[in-house]
Amino acid sequence: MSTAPQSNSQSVNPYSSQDAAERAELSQIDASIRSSALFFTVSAIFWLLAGTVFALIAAYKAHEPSFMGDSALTTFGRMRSAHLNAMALGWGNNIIFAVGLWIMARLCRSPIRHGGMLTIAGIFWNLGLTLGIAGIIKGDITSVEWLEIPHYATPLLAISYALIGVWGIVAFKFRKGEHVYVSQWYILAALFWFPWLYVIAQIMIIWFPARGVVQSVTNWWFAHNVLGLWLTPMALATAYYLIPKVLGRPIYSYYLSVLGFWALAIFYNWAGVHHLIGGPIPVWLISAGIVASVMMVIPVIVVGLNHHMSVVGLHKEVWRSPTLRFTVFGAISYTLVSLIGSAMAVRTVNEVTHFTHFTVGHAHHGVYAFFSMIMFGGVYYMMPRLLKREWPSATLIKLHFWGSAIGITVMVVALQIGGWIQGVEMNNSEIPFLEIVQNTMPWLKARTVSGVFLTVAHIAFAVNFFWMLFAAGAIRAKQGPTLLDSTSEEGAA
Amino acid sequence: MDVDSYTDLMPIILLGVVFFISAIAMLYWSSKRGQLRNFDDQAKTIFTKEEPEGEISDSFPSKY
Amino acid sequence: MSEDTKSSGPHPNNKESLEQAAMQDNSMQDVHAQLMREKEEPHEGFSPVPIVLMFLFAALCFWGGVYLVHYSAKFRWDAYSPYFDPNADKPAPVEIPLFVRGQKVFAQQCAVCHQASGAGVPGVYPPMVGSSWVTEHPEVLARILINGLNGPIEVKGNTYNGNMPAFGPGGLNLSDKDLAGVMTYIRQEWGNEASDMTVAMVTDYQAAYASRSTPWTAPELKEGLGPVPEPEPVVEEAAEGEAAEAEEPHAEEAAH
Repeated sequence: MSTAPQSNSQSVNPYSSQDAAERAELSQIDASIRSSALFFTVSAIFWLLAGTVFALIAAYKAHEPSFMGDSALTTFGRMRSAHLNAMALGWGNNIIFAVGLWIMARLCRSPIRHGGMLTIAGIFWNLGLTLGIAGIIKGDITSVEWLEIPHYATPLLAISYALIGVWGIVAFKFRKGEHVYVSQWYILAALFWFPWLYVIAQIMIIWFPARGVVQSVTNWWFAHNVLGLWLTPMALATAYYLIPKVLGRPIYSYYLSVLGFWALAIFYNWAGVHHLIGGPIPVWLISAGIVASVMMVIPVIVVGLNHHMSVVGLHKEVWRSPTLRFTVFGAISYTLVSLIGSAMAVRTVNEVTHFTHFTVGHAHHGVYAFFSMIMFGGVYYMMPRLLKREWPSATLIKLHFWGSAIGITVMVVALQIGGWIQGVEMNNSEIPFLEIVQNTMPWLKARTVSGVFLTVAHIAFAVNFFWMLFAAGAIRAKQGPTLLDSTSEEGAA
Repeated sequence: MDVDSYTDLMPIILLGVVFFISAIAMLYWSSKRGQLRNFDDQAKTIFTKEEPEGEISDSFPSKY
Repeated sequence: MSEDTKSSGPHPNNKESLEQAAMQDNSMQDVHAQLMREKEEPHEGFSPVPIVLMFLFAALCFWGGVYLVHYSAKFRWDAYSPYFDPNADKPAPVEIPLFVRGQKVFAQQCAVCHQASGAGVPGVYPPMVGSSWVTEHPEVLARILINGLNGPIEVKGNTYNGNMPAFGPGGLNLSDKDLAGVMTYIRQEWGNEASDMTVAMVTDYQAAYASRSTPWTAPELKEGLGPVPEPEPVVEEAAEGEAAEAEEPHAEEAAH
């Protein structure tokens, strides 16, 4: 936006000039991580598209059960589980490895080492995941939620993750500069949390199963914490980096962001048990989970306040930036989905929403409207800096944004209204069960429609991405992100 | 609780204690290293000379 | 802050001319950077949490503590309900009526041969509907169930010659409740109108016949029966049935 020449940018900000000697050029850092970030993004997009196909099949089957009904491979159980794992571990993990590690590298201010190892670990991750999801579709599904991948694929996943996680920690260890930005806190913590969750859950549920109900408690501790201690911190790290970065204005209250981080770390991991409210579990554990779920309001409000105050007055700039359209949408969704989630944990609300489509809507609200939208924003910011090219098409970006925004809004609203009605009716013993099932049909059909919107959005995203990746001539912008205009960079090292 | 004796839970209790101590240690470490002072300076560490503070660094592409 | 008297005064609202000035004055840059952040009171690099939030968080913590105290059943391992009250009376177990119980048992054990309609299979399995073996003396029916039946038997004008298995301890060993239930059921379903077979009656008949190891034959069934128990309170029935039957098993065994 500013047309002032680059030459005074070095002197404008006194804080970066202090450690200019230690700090490598951003373009250097970006160049060093380029191949692995690209690999992970391409993988993520493939899994996003595969997961979308599984989702469409599963969604359509929910109201037309005979659709593709003559093949065991396309039964609802397998399609739904393939969708969940493709999206969580395929799209989710790969895009985290792309965007999250790129942000970590940038904030560690030095070009990365062993990028090759990262890519190789990523290849193994995707191989393991392909094997696992093929296993699910073949029928070797383990029937444990969020751990459906059969046992022959999970060690491969664990080992390849270990390599990636270790890489992240090494990058942090060899960082330059004193300050540890909040995004680095979140990314580092998440890199520790995820393997702990995954390994413990695998051991205690699949490999050496614990006795009885302990398995369920472990299962939901794991599944909920994948959302809260892996996807959430990575998305928050991305939002905390992108919002101030794009706007050129520091986060409103850095103190609040550190407070939010520690509150998340304390409260989140107790909350998983709220999936088992009313179950045959000692009631103190459930009450502790409910209290923790409600206490999560604290970090959520803190983060929401921080983000809101950081963008206040700059709404036009938010709208004009593709990155921030997605990221701010995601940040607002974070506040909304978490508050709804805290409400759902209260027993009187849970009596209605448990075992209904309300929960499915809530899950997608978090994983898509919050996590995925922020990550889309991350991709839109990262790619021009990695490839030194602009995104080819603004129309496709807008198509992506509107498709996603409308799609997920319709999905969440439909499923939550339908789910609430379903819950109320189920609590009424006079209404026959099949009648309740019939009453959910229009809402499930609305969900399928929303899925079509999302599919269009994802296709637009993929087309735009691959067009950019394979563009024969680099599209240099005359005006735009300053990093693209290399002719005016002063004293490039 | 349904265990023969509470000492059976010792490994997991120890692990929990280890995690708790490491969390406190991280807090202490960050405090010692000055992470918990001067927050406003820390908020600015994301800016560099290529993407400085005060400049909007993203926009829609100009074509299509 | 610093007084900038060097240049001829840049227009304060024009960013470009401000930046021109900034190029020339080092101390101006510090101010410039701070001014570009449109925030109030950046004292000590620390913007405190708004007071409203502190109150909200304190209220949440208080709520959390109260909730935990009320709904944790004192952290007992054996309490699953948030309203657990260790002093409350244990609720009485629900008793399924004999007829309903018998319906289930019939469907599981008997309908295979005698059919769900109770009509049996002509020539193979005798019917229950309107059969006097079922609806008359309960001891006859009890004998059939407890020890089984072999040999020809005439039911409603037709002869059947099969093997009815024993359901007493020497055979499939149904519980007294199940036996009482199924016998009550067949005596009162399909238009049959006979008295209940109570658990107490079954217990008495078991006491008499459980030790018998051979199935009955049709002529034997009608011999040496005790009196038909009146549909009365359990205690009297037991006394009456027991006294009457005390001599029967001996008579039966003597007859063979």
